[in-house]
Amino acid sequence: MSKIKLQHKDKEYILEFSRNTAKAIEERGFNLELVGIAPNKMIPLLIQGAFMKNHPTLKQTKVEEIFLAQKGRAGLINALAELYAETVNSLLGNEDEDDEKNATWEMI
Amino acid sequence: MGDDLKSPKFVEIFDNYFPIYLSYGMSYEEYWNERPELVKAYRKAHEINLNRKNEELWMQGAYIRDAVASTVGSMFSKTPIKYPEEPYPITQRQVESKREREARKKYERMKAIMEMAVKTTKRGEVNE
Repeated sequence: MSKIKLQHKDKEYILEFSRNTAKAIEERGFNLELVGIAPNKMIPLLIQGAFMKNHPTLKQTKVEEIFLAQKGRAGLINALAELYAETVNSLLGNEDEDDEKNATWEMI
Repeated sequence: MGDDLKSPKFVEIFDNYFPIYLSYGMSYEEYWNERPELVKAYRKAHEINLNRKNEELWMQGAYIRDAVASTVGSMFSKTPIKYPEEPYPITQRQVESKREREARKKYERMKAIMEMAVKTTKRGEVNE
């Protein structure tokens, strides 16, 4: 998954992150680790960042209107957080980690 | 002490990895503005390039070995060692083509021997 498509009033909006837009919201104070602790500050920044790449001229009030009109907003926030994290995970990722056979654990 | 446990900022990680992906041939625009997972393709491409370079160097060693054997090595051998008449086949098509040529040569040789044997036999029958 690399992008999310939203529909609102017969218009389509594509939400995704590039490293530049991830950097932009981090510079405005966004921290993924604080989404659960300070959601009132973090979530608007996350949503703003997701619109930035493909809809840079959209006003913040319009962004909020589109987001609030969506169903399943908690799931949408999680998905956006995953997209944001992917900007770093793709750099650090080891393709072998996708092989589920490698992962094992046991109780001792 | 608390600062040591802080996760690095995303922008620090981006900046640290940027020169690495530039060295892989990725452009500024691709790294900073395209979809993030594009780096995976560049990592795989880099690995392919490394393997190719390694194979080229190995092949170079094989030709150097043949050149030394056909010159210096020949001086110490009873029979002269020849440098290969053609490049080593490296693609599947080249390998199959060489195999076909050698099979054809072998067939032609066998055919010539059989024809000679038939001629010799017929000559023998006539003389009788």
